[in-house]
Amino acid sequence: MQSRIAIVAATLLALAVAPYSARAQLAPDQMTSYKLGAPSPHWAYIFDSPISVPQVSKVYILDTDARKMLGQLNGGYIASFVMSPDASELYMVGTFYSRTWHGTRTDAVEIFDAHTLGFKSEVKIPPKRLLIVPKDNSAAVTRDGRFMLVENLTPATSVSVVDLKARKFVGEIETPGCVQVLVSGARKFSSMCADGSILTVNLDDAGKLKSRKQSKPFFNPSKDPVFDQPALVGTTAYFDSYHGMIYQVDLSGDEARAEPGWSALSEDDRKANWRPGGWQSISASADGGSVYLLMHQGGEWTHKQTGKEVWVFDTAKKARIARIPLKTEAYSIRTSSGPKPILECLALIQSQLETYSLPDGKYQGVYTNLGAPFLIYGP
Amino acid sequence: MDKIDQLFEHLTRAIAQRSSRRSFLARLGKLAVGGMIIPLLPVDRVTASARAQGLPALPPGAPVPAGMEAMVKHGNPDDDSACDYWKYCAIDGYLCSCCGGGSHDCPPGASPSPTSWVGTCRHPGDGKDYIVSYRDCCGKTPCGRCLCANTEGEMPLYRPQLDSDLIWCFGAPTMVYHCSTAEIVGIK
Repeated sequence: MQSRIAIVAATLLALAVAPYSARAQLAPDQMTSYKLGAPSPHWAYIFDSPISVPQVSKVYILDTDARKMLGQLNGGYIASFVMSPDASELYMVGTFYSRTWHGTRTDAVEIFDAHTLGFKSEVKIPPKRLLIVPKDNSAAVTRDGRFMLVENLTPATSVSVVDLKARKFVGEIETPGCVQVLVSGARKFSSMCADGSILTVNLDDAGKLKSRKQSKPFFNPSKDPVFDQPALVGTTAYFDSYHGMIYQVDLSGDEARAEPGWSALSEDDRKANWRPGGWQSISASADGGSVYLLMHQGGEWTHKQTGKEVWVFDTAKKARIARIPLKTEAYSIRTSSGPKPILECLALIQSQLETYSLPDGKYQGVYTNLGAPFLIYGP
Repeated sequence: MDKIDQLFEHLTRAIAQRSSRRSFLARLGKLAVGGMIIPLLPVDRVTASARAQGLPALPPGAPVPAGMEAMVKHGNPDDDSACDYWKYCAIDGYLCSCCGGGSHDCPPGASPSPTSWVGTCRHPGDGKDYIVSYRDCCGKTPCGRCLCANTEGEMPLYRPQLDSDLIWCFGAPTMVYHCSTAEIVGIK
């Protein structure tokens, strides 16, 4: 009798507990991959060239408002990162050896979906792309998104053209004595030349050479060279020089047209040895009304010294309007687009990004563990 | 002949004593077909750097004028694993002497690049100015030790022969950079 009571009691207990157990148990996880929405102007795309193994390049996508990592993109040996104008695709132009660090060399434009960050396809290009500590404008897309232009240096200089619509290599355009790709239109790019001039190239609708014209030199590279990573806004390039000159160059025509340069430095600034420097040392606001220079105090040939302040200039008045002291000395700077632009400052050695609100220059915060971050890009 | 030309001729003779480099330059000429050749003759760096500083180029044997010290430094005579070692006055990269190689020798298995950039460094012991060729060792991933970045005379990419950020492995079996050396190629 007792055993029957025990069985009934156990059964009742089991029936009573079962629903509670089921309710207390977590539902099984469903594993997915996140997707990204449309990029915000405050997303920063940070290019990391791992110093000891640059055979794999990385781009970290950060939401600087949320201070959150959104995702990562990979590329080949010292790759070049490029975004499509319509924000639908991302590109890594890379070099690959068949055995990672030796073997047969292949260069390719790798195409990624900007929302899934997944690999879509690739277009092989001649294995002669520029290999250098990563620099902005080593590859770029025409304004209509049709052609990818890739700088070659063997050390002969030329530009490889890839038709992104047809996904095929079109050909090469020689740019004798001139380097890099400053895109200023749907069929137009300019390159910086050894004598201080600018070469402007027009393409036809097939991506072939239509015309090529070299400007007069607008600075003297032997006396005061301009940095080779200008800020490009619309069809205007803003250059800063080793000794603190600022040059505004109109790239809209068949021949580049430079306005006379002006100095960012007062006599007192010069006496205190202020000068621009770092890696990405110049940025411009989206309307071109302001130019930002990364500044340090140092003597001759300190052009790669990290900057402790960012100086803001009104390009119409050709005058300084603000000085922003940085919490951590920066190697590269960028100002974001959008209605509330921010100043993004990369510290290479500290492996971090710090942001400041504009125009007040108020420190917002830091994002760490970014590898060897050389360059900042943004939508 | 102006002073720059005199210096150029003198340095060219010094470099030309090295037949391997000469044969490389011949090969390089072939590479230039179809595109613009950027002057790679290493001595051009010295001359152009002098110009870049707005300083007179040095005639052979002349004393180093004030202001030219950036190109001719008095350095550490002993420690070839230090950035201020006298031969490293214009070096940019990882020192091969910290990576299993020497101040002018590649670590085992790495290949010397036939191309280079050049500086002029004064030996602190004998007071003489030596032409130093900065040749990369290529074919292995970066050594990652003893990074030196001496930027005197360094120019942006549109003057590539003076840009030490380039991977200077042109003509080597691969363009994979490992470390940098400093090789005496002659006396100025």
